[in-house]
Amino acid sequence: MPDPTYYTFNRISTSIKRMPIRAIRITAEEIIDEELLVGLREAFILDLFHIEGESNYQYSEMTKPNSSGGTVTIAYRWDAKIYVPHNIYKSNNLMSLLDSLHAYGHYSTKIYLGTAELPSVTNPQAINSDDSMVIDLGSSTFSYHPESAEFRPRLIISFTGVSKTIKDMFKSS
Amino acid sequence: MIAFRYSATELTGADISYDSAAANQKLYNCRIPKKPQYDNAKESGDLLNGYSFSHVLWRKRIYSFTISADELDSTGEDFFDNYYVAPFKYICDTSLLILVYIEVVEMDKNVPKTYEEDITFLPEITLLLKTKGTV
Repeated sequence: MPDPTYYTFNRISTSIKRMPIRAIRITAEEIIDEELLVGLREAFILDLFHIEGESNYQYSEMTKPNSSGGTVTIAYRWDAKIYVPHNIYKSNNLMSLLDSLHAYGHYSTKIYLGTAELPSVTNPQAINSDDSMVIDLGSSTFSYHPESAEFRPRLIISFTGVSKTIKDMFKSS
Repeated sequence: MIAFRYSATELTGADISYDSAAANQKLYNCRIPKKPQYDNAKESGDLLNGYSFSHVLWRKRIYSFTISADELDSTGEDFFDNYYVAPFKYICDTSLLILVYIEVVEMDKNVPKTYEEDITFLPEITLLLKTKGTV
């Protein structure tokens, strides 16, 4: 009998990193061939930096009971709430861009954590970050609404989705 | 695990023994594998002399399996679509000591399929089968 393989997580000094949400990128995709429904072209890309500290994401299991009294995880549900402080809605066309994403129908979203760099744009300096990671939410649906927070309006974008597995959603870039 | 297998021809002779590499076969843990129950057919009545009778004509086993989205994918959905229309359907409980296929017939007309929260990639099938022969 071969010996078992040991996987040990015990070095907290090097394996716990600070990775706050740095930015989100929503990519609108356009179908090239409407008739055959093939080929996607990146129509426009919406990057949101400097989002508020309340922004968060969380995953929860969708479970069902089994016949021995336990539970079986059949999928994972996630939701991410992004608080966007850029609030000059009369001129910053943020809402119309979000509306047009719905019109395109196809879009993908990524949340950049820590020092993860968004490709093709100038990234502001990452602070309070030790490492980088990217959460690929894929084509999860979203909704948005403005609200007032003390002295200013702000926008909340909520992403929701379901996936059978989540281990592949956390990427290095 | 429960092996589900379908065939265009009846399994006879040595073929009735479980074959882990058989074609048109899939194994599932089943989220809810219910213990077999019985379906009894009885003839009963009252005689003119006051006696009553109740004769068991035949007895069949009923099996119920629930396979959920943690195991079931679109390939599995296609498999059960074919399983339901195949002329010969078999199951085998691979946890038993003697592994033979049991021929079964479906008790539902269509594949009893539902989708968790209407999400198409989270299918669930609850199979209700009974033995073809009597036990």
